[in-house]
Amino acid sequence: MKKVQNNLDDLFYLILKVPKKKDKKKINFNNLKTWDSINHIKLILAIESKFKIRINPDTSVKLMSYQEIFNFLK
Amino acid sequence: MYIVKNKMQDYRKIPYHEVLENISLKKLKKAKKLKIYGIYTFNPMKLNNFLEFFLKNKNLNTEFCDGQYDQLEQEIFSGNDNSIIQKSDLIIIGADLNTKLSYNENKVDSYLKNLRSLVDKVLKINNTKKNLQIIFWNTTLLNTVFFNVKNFTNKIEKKINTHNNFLFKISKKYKNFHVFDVNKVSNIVGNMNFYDEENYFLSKIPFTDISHREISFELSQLIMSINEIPKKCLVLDLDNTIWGGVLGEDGIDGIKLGKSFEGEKFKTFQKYIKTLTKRGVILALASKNNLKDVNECFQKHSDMVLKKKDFSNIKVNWEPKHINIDLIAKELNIGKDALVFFDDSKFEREQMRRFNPQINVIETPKEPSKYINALELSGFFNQNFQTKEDKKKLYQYKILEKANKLKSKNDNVEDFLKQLKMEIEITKVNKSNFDRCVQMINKTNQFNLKTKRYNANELNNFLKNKIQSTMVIKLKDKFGDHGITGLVMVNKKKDSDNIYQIDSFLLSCRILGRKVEHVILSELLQNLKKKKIRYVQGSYIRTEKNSQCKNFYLENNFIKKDKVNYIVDLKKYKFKKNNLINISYKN
Repeated sequence: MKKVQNNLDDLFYLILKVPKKKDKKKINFNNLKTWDSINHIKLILAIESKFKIRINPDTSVKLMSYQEIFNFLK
Repeated sequence: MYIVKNKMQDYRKIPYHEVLENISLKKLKKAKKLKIYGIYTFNPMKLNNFLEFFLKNKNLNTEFCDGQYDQLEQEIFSGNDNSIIQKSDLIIIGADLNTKLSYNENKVDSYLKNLRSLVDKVLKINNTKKNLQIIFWNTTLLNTVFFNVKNFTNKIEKKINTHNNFLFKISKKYKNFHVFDVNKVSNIVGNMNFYDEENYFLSKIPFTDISHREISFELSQLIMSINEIPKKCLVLDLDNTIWGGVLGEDGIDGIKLGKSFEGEKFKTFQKYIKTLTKRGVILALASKNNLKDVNECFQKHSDMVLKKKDFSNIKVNWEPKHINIDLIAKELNIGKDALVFFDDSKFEREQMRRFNPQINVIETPKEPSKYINALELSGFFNQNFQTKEDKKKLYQYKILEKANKLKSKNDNVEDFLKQLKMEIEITKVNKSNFDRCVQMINKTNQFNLKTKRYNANELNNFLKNKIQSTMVIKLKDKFGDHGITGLVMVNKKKDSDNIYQIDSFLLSCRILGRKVEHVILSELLQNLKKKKIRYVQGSYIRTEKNSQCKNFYLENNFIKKDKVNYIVDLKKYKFKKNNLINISYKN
């Protein structure tokens, strides 16, 4: 659990520039400026590679907040 | 192989998120920066990330500027504003037929026609921007469902092949137009694994993970071959490199070469090295061995593909290799950065990196069957274009070595030079030697007084000028024909009637140390005097590599005018007698 969170925090920092220690519970596509459609794709691709999973497009359009992604991964 | 997080990794296994991490780190210091303007019919985000990563690993920083998605023609040519192009070093144009047509075969014709007119337009940019390189993707075969409809598929494939051939023809004609063979990449990856249909509709990224790696890797190799001068010399080890085992311990019959499956690996490697010599690569040996054993092995082992005569320089002794490689560079008269070192021993490689950091060291895989792969992937010997002269070079370096040996026997330099029976043939720059001239202008470092580089267009412009004159120098001696090895370009100085200036004066380092340069200068001055020119001005602009010619004009009785310029009055000039070299002119 902790590991999933750390890995995800790494990616949020790397791609969306969200500081690692920041509380991300409320972060979503609409309220974070850096989270645009291009970065969303980048984020999904990076999650696929970091967690060694495959996310199909139908799912990836639903993963629009930190919490949703986290729930999906755990 | 790539270093990611301090670990060596095969480029095929590097995960995307590590690529992102790597490129988010600081840019390289002291590295060249390449501005790339990419125009694609798809979303190139991931492609660019990989490309940036590979180029960074090859010591090249990049800055990307991408056009709007799927706006090929509008992007480059619609408005008057082509400021992006003016700022770019490289344009990449990638059109993908399959995603673009989305299975609409009827449009193949008009699509290909559009691409062709795009090529014409791209070539027109040539005139407005200097030194711009263009990479144009060729077209993959149609990934169609009509595999079995014989006539139909055949027809379309023919059209695509014709189009691809057309691109290759253009690339032969224009030196700065390069074709990226994405078709080959799709063959390597396999058609079935090339496209990622599932994600395309959402992200407009058409390729699979593996395609991205291969495409961007090959693209980075192409970019490097355009931007870097190919390396000149491969320095090889012997034991466990071109044969298996240790000669000193196992003996000629004990080493692994040919015959067994293990021996075949090394024999194949030797065959590959032999093909490198045909690309113009010079070979040298640096090995810790007894020379006598090695000579015997070259003579007697029936499976040796490489012969002793294939090596232009041989250093078999017990000295440290970083010292031997210094000697190799010196004796072959090439810069250290043009040497590539290939050795199975990690110790030797590390030592080389530490004491001779300019040398390019290849990270040799443990498994000998992967040696060829390692050399190919290094990209060091990717020739962008090869001239006739390149093929001759190997032979010529050997001539040089022979001459150097002879030199050590002759104390009197003049006598030595006389017996070389040198002959110079002088022509103007013309169609048949044009390529070679451009190559020399851009490659010659050591004896190059101004190191002024011209690309093909610029040279053409220079030649269009009425008041100019060029001398292309071809040298022969008793050891053989050195080919075209020198170039002199002069033109009239602006705002003055009687002053000519030497615009370029360069000689290939292969023929230095023979006083050729003095004879040519004297010949040039005599020619100008015949034209009733009174003053000639020459300049020496210092670079890191041309210090050996810094006193050239002073040695020839020019008078120093200021920091860079030297001038001579031909009315008062005393010409030296030339009894060393026979000079002839040819039109």
